[in-house]
Amino acid sequence: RAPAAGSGGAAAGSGGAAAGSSGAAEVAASAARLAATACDQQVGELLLQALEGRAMEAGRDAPVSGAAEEHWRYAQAATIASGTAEVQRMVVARHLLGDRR
Amino acid sequence: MNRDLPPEAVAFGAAAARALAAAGGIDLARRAEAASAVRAEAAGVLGRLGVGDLDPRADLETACAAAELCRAAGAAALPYPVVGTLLAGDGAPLAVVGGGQWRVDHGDLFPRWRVAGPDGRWRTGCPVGPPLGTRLGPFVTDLAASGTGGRTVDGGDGAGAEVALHLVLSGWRLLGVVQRAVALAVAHVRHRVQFGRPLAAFQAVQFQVADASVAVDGLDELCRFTLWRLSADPDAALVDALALRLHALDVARLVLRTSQQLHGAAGMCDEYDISILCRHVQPDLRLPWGSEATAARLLDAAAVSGFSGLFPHH
Repeated sequence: RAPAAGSGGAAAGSGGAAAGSSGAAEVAASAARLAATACDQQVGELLLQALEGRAMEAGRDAPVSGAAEEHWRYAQAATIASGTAEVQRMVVARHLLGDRR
Repeated sequence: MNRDLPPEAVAFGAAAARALAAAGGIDLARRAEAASAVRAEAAGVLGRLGVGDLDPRADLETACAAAELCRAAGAAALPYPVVGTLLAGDGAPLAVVGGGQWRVDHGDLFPRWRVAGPDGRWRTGCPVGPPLGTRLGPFVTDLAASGTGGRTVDGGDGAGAEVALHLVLSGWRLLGVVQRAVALAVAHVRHRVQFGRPLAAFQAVQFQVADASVAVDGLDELCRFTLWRLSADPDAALVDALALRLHALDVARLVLRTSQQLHGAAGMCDEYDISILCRHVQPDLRLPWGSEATAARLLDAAAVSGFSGLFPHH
């Protein structure tokens, strides 16, 4: 997750001139969350593609002890829990552009 | 090509959609997951619609009616192997399987399947063991070979065309799934209020709904085109059917993701239809091949027969 945190930091730095209501740490957290959850879903789908016909198995007897199937299902919720991806984007955008409501 | 379906096919599809809705719609799938015998109700609805007499191999008009039926089945997440049974022979539905273990959604419902395998030969498959019963494959069942047929699927006896037709009708089923997913998302964001406004009032939501809708319309066009191509140019049938499958998988991934996201946490709850739809469609997305394996087969098929896609120039 280091690259995600890094890009969040860069965004926070470049957005300083148009400082909105969000603090730099909050923006970095939102940026990191956006990058990480998108990556999470891509990796989840890649894992199931790799498992081909066994992708739908679950539990201890499934490939990699069911970790891929569980990862995929949890990844679907990752862009909703802890603030939706849409809200995270609003936080980043407001920091860069100011509050335009 | 005439992009309009015959009125009889449209009327048949609409009658099927009404009958499936009257039988509970997506709730039929929800109940089937709790008690798999509920799938007999799905078979009953199809029987009363006269699906047993519908052979999509007969002519393009009948294939259009079958396609509309598959679309209605997809929209209801119908817990029944409608594509395989439409292409049954001697009472055994058709299964197209990939490499490795033979797996078929609802494989346990029939004692015998006509299996078109990756080596291009017909075989007979019989279910072994109960369905997986998992969240992503509640009705996925393994088949075992019983006897080996000598005919090759691409042997010029029409069998290769059946595999292509199976892929195309499966594409129509996925079309129904994604059309329903957009409809569910639209209904939810118009109804659900957040930050003092309906979700539909937010541009971020509007753009996602628009992108999903455009993707679904594009798939609709490709479904119509590919069904017509099967009869207009049988030699290119497989490559076109694989191209449709690959595109349908891309669209399904985008649209299901968007619709579930727009439902928020509710989209993860089985009380909401989108959750059932997203889970129950997984076997359709991964059997016989997911998008990576489908793309590899598309490349192979294009190397053999060429690929002109939507814009043939000969």
